[in-house]
Amino acid sequence: MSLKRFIVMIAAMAALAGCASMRDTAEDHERARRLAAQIDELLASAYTVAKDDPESALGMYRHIAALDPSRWEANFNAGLVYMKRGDREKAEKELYEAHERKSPADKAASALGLLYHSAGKTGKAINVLESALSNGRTAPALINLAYLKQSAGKTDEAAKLYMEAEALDPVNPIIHYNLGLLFYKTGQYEKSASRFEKTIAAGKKDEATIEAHAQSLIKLRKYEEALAALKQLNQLDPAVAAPYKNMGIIYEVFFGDYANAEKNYTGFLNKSKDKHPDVEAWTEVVKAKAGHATSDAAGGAPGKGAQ
Amino acid sequence: MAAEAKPFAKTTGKAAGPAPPAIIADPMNSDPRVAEWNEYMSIAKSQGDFSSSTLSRFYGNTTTFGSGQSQGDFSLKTLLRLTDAYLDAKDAYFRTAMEEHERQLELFRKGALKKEPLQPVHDYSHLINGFQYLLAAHPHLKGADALHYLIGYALYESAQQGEAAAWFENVVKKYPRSQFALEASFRLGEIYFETGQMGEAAESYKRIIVAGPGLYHEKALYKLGWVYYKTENLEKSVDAFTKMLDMERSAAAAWKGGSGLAPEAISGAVMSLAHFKDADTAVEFIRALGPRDYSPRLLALLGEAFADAARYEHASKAYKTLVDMFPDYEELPLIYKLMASLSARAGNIDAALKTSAEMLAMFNTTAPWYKKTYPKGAEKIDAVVIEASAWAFKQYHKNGREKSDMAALKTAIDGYTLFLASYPSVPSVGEMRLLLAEAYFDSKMYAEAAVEYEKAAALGKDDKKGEMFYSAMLAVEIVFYGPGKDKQASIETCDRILKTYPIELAQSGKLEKAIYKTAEMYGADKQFDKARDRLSPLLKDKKNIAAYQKSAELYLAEGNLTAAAALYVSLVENSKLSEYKEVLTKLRFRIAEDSLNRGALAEAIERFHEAHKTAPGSKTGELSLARAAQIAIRLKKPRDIEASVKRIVEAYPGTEWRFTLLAEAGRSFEAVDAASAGRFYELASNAAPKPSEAAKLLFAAGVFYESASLNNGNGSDEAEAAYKRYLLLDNIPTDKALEAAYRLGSLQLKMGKKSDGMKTLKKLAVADDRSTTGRQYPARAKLILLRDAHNDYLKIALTQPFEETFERKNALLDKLLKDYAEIAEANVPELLPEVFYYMGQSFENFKDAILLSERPSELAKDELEEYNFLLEEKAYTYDEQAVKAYENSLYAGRDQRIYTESLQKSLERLAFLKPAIYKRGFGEAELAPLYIMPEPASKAKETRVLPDES
Repeated sequence: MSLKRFIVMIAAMAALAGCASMRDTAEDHERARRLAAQIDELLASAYTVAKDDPESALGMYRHIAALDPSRWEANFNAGLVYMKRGDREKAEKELYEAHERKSPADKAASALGLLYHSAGKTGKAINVLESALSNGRTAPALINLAYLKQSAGKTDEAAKLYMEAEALDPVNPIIHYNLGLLFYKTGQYEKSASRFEKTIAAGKKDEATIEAHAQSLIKLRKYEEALAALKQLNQLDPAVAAPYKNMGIIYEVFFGDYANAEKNYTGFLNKSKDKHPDVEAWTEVVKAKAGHATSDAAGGAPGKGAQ
Repeated sequence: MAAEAKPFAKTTGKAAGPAPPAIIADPMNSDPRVAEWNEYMSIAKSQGDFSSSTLSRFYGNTTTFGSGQSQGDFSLKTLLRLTDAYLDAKDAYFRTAMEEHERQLELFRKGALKKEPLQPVHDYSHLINGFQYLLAAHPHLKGADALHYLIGYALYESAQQGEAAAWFENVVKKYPRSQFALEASFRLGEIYFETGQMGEAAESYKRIIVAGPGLYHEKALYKLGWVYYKTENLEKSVDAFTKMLDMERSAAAAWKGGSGLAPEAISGAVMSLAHFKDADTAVEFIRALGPRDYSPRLLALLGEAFADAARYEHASKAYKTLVDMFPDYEELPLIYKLMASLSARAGNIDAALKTSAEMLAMFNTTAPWYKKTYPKGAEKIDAVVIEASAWAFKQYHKNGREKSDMAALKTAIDGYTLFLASYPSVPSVGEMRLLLAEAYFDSKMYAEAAVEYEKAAALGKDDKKGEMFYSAMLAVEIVFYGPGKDKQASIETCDRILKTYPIELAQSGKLEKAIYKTAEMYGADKQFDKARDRLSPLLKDKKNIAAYQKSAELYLAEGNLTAAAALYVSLVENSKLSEYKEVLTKLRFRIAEDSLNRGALAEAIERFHEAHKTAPGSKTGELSLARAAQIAIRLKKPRDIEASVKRIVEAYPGTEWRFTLLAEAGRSFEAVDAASAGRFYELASNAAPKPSEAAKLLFAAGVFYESASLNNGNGSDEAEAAYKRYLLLDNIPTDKALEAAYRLGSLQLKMGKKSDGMKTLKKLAVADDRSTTGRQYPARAKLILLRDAHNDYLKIALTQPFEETFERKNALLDKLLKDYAEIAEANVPELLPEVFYYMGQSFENFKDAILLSERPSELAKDELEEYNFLLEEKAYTYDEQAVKAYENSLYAGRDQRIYTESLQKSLERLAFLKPAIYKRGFGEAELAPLYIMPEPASKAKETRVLPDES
């Protein structure tokens, strides 16, 4: 919607709103209905505009808020725009307004929670979300609160909240992912591995999940499965260096496959932007081991352990 | 006999002349007519002169004679008039004599008379003699033809036919133009016919016929017909008869008894026709006559004659010809009936049926034929058509039903329908409507059947109405359960009948059934409230088991198991029948399952127990208790589970559920509560039906007890006891026995029962088992047994005197290495990393011991440096050995892809000892949990935002 048209519409709506008090109830209802429909349309338009012209979007939100103060969406959306712009103060103000106007917990409260948390006020963030959840507990809001608790080191509380969210939304991958990380951090690698598997099954098969899964498997000394996961990770983005290193270690140390170890170390070194003298040294070692292995195969084996 | 020639009669007055001669003696002389005639004859004969002058001279100028109508002058004419009266008197006398004769005969028959009375005979002798005299005296008398005729007549009446014939011939020959000639010819014909002289009879009759129409013309034709019949001139016979009939004014008049001879002529013609060489000829003869009034009657009687002679085909031909030639014949329906009867008699029932059926179509009251022929109606025709068509359609109906012949049934239906339309008021209309309903029913046209049953019921007798209404409901019921979509219409029909005619239904004993039917239909249409409402009158009787059962079934169909169960409770109480108890039990079981499926577990348990209590001892009762126990298993409540198992065992001793439930309980606790799993497996082993199963479960119990003890310290005693019991069992697999022994020993050590543990393990260590799965345990036992020695070895420091302690520690090292080598030789792959690790640790420890050994106190600085150098050289060897051992550990694990903790430890030591070769560090990405950043309010879907994007 163009700005000019928006202004005309706002003027019309203002006129309508002014006339409303002079008519009977049935017409009032009809007018209110039409007003609500037009506000919805405005919201949608503002959202589209916000990407390229956030200022105009903010103007729209202000007008909407003036037209119908009960609509929390305007404040909420304005808050998000301010957040994106980095204007924390205004973002907080708008989001708080929306929160006061009873926006759902997974809307204004969640946004506020993130705002506070990113400002280092995790405790305040937790309070806001807990307060919002008292009006209704939704899975996204529970996940966010659990996240905050997890960040605050309250892993048991966080785990409980994740479980509660899981009961409401059993196939939400974020629940399994976050729980997986919680278990990983607390050394419960079996549980973390299981959760990452559930994350993948729920559809979140991104690099972070696969990497986390691979790490859990390494901790469990399940190197074959870990290698498979690392290969998956590598396939997702062959340009990323980290998987090569871990694959190299598995090949070298746990499989005795020096050729593949060398290949992966070399891959790591090639993909990596930084210098890694340790890995360079490992590469030389595996080359030597590979040479030894070849000569062993060719002309007798001097016994294991010869260096 | 019509005596046209009247006799003379005397006047009442007497003549004044000389007295006439004595009157001839005649028993009838008292009759004045007889007396007069006798007197006149006497005079005529005595005078010898028949002229009137003579007679008047006799009577003295009297010019007339006789009296009354007989009166006349003295002439033949008068004589004939007197003779006429004379003959009347004679006839009267004869009749009286005959009557008296009959009376006498009756008396004789009764025995009142001894002698049989003689039959009176006509006595015309006086007349015959008198007239013969006169003729002889006056041969040329004018009017002599009359006298000849009368003589002939008197002789004929006197049974003197031969003589009579002669006198008649006289009349015919001598007086051909006489007024008596034709009569005389007729009488001659009769005499010749009676005496078998057919040729003369024929001539006589022909004479009359040739003379043209007259009094005797039809009779002559009639008699001629018979003459021809007797002489087998059949065509001439028929011709004569038909000519006679043609002479009649109308055949209908003849049928109604006009002249009296026409019916006989028709019969005669028919008899002749029936004797034609074949029916076709006869029929064609009639056809050739052309349409005559009497032709239909001829054909009809001909057909009848043929039929009586069992010549059915010929009869049929005659009838068909009649139908063809005279479609408007007013008695055509009767002919059809005869044709149908003929077919039936010939055994051709199908033809009989078809003909009878056609009668209704052709001759019903609305048919064109009927309207034209009987515009005011005809009860007789109606009755014939009704009877024949009813018979036919009932037969079609019967055949259709018995042979499932739809065509026949359709014919019956069409017939009944036309019948009802044509004869709406006849007494049989009720019966026919019912038959129509049944025909529809037999044809599977149930909707139509229902309508007709209702109509029939309205017409039916009171005690039958209910049955018909019920039949209507049955038909509607079939429609309801059929493929049609309009179920509601069917239900409403049944409901209407039920509500409108309850009394009639009750009178027929069908009311209750009707209620059930209606209720069932409502139930099938899922209108359960209405179904129950219809049943409600029956439920007032608490003893009406069937009603309660039906009501319960409705609740079941509705899914209201609780209400159904309540009704079955009543059924059980009122009927005392075990089958209801069984149903109630199963119902309560279902109710409990329903609770279970809804997740109301506590409620489900309660209801399963209720189901069991309903029929304790039953299979369902047993299953109910089992289900309740399974819920307890699901809830993971060990005490409740044990209580449930106990309950079912008490109620059903020997039940297989005991074992099943305990094993199931064990499985359920495996992942959550190892101690409980162990307990239930132990209990299950006690209940196991087979020793092998018992052994497996006991072993499993031990494993889970052991696992529990590792987690929270509880279960060690139970595990130990279980393993011990297991090891005492017979026929346990060797590998499992070794494993159990190993587990027992390890456990005992962990429990602090070192002596028991060592004893167990020592015994295990010397066991010899080459199986793949079993052989590891002796090796493991040995490994554990070496632990103390290993730890003791590690603690030994090298002190002065160095050589002494060195030798001692070295001896221990050798012993350890030997023992470890032995274990390694057992070739248990999963143990090798650990064995080599310990070997490595032993070497490394020796190296450290050397390097950390006590130095001699008396050494100088440079000596000490030299001493240290030598020590390092010595230590280096052990370092090398340690590396090898650790590497062996790594290789062993690598080869088997078994990455145990020991291997990890070996790797850590290698990383320390040979960092360049072995020190490796996995990269760990720093992964952070995710926060769900809400989307702006206009969009539905949420997105994720990583913290650094906020």
